[in-house]
Amino acid sequence: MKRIDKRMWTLLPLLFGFWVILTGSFNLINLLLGLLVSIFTSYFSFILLKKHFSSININFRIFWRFCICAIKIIKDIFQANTDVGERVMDPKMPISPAVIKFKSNLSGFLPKVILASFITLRPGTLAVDFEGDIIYVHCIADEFAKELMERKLENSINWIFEEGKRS
Amino acid sequence: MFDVISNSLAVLFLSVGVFFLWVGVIGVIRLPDIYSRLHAATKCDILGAGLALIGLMIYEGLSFNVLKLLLVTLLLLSSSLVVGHVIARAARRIDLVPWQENREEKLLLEKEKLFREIFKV
Repeated sequence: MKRIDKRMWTLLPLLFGFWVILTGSFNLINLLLGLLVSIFTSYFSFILLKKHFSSININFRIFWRFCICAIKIIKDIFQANTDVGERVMDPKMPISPAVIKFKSNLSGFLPKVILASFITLRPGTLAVDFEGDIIYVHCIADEFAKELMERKLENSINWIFEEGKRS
Repeated sequence: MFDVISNSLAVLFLSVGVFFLWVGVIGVIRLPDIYSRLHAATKCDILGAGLALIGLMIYEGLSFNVLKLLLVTLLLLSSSLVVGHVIARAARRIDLVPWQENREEKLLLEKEKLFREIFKV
């Protein structure tokens, strides 16, 4: 119980800051209401997600590397959109969809979540379901499945979470 | 002068964003099944709404509202991904089969074959 409480205090200021920025007023009633709501939200989310949160360890370097990867993925978002646009606007609609099983060798809760999000953001693939280590990925054409099987995405996520061998 | 540049940049970003949202809508209408429609919905939603919000930020200039718009953009990015994943998972859990080319023709042929076997036509 004590560990949960300590972690709750790190989520609470984030939620409270979010509330203050979005409401944009500094009334006493508004601030009190925001504090109440953020305490409730962080408390109940920690009750519900206790077992997942206990495995998460974030330090500054992981956050920094995640930011680098997020900037790299912006190019992929543009590519994904133009690809969907081309396929949709084509009168013949060149799609051959399939659901494939993708076995990831990532361990831990947060790397898998990031992998699923990046799969959805990349062109032509959509993360459908998660069962243990296996992700079900819907590909809109065959070449995207081959691209996914090269495991470049997984390697970059491994790079985010790897321990500090290089400085 | 600065107003003209910032306004035209804002209009450019807004129109490109609206164009991508339009592509997403056409994709949702044209694509054959729920999984491929989710491709169009999630991806075009993220980029279209993101570019439109960036255009609004440029139009607003330096003010408190820019911070709000930035937070809305981040929230939209994360929630759109999660919602797309949840819809796809629900569709898989109730055993919706993904669309394949010529699948209905094959099914019709199978039905016809079965009919012939049963009634010995």
